[in-house]
Amino acid sequence: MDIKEELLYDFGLNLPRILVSGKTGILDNVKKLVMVSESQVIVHNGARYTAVTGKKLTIKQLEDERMMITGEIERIEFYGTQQDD
Amino acid sequence: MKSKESNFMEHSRTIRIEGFQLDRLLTECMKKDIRLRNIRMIGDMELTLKIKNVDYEKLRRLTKSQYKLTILEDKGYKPLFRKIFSNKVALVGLVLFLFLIYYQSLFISEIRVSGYESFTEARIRESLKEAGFYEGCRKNIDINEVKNSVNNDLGNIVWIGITYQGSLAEVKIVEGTINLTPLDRSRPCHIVADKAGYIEEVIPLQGLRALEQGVYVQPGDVLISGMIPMASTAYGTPTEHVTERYVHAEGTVTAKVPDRFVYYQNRYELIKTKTGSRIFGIEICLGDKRINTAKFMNSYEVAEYKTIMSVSAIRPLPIRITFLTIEEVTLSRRERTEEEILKLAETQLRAIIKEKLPEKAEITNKSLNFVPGENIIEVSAMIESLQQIGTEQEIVIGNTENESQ
Repeated sequence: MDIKEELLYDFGLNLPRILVSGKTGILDNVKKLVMVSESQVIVHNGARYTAVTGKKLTIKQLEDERMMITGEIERIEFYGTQQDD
Repeated sequence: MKSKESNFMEHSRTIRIEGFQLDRLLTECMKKDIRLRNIRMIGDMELTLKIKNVDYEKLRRLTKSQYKLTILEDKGYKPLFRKIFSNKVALVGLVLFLFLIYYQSLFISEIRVSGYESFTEARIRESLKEAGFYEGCRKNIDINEVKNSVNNDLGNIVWIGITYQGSLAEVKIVEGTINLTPLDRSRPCHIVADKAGYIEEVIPLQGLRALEQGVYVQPGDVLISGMIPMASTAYGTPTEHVTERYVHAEGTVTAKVPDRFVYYQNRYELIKTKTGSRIFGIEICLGDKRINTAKFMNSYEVAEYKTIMSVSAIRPLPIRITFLTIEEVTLSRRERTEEEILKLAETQLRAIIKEKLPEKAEITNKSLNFVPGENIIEVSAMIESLQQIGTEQEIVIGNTENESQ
């Protein structure tokens, strides 16, 4: 990863960014919660959407545009708007 | 981040929110900087979450009447203290408990003694108790005074250390060496007198008898000499001029040792006659504080205290409760008879002999003399006993100063 790519990654404030480790997932750049249930959490990141699907999902922490999800994470999907597509 | 955590520790609330579009409410919370924890969805229209108490009002304003809020639980040290302080009985109990813990720490609840060899632990504990250092006494006792008292009482103590570990007192002692090791048999020595007396019998096993029977000796006088004169017949050799040889003197020396002891006894015997009237009382000792109910009620001129029953405990507090009676008595006295005085003098003398004379001493003669005073009788006893008085003294060859000693 060169400097340009790193800068784009760091300052991409409207893009999905997620870190998953075991039963924990940390979502950054959370602008809006679109759907929250025990099996799915969908958030809007400004430019795109992120969907985390699994079982017994709990939002352990929600603050400063950051969300920590725990549970059995099975799938992560990213969506764009129709205009983007 | 630490301050945010500490706010949750301080006071947080678990609440249930019921209503439509809960995801929108969560987005609003995030935008208003309301920090949320443990968000759990229960169906489509209900969730539970944890929120700081300071943010609760903000959330309530945000929800208006569209959502139903129910407080499920208050957590943190603030509500805990509030709960404790609202219960007066629990508060009094807590204060009492803390006071008991503090008050207990003012006393010694256990004493451990270590380092003793020739003394028994019981003897050391007795000596400590005499000095006022016992299980249940206050910690602010003067340690130096205790040490001095134990030193004076036991004698053969080189060092004594007292340290506290909470309510436990550790007493360490180091004993001195008073038992002299016997002299090596290969080294020459004299047998000398260790006390004054008249020589009764000298049986030399090795060495030369130095004194005749009946001679009065002082401590240090040679009784059996380890230096034996000899006439050398090794003519023409370097040992021709040797005129004595040295041996390790051995043998027993018995002497008549006179001792004089003076002691006293009462001329009159005090007679207590009970009048029949009595009162009962309770004495409560808490540490070094003492309350005796009988003292307030006692109006007798002369009285005798008698303990009926005593109950004591060290933990949690050093307390002793004693039930006692105070009986009124009248005092009178009578002069003791000669027979009684003589009987007591004999008993006293036996105790003195047991304490002062060696165990193997054989009493050959004794006489008692009584000098009556105003209230006391002075008894002087002359004891003549047969005792072994010989002890080894090393001969240091080539050192005239030591030899002369």
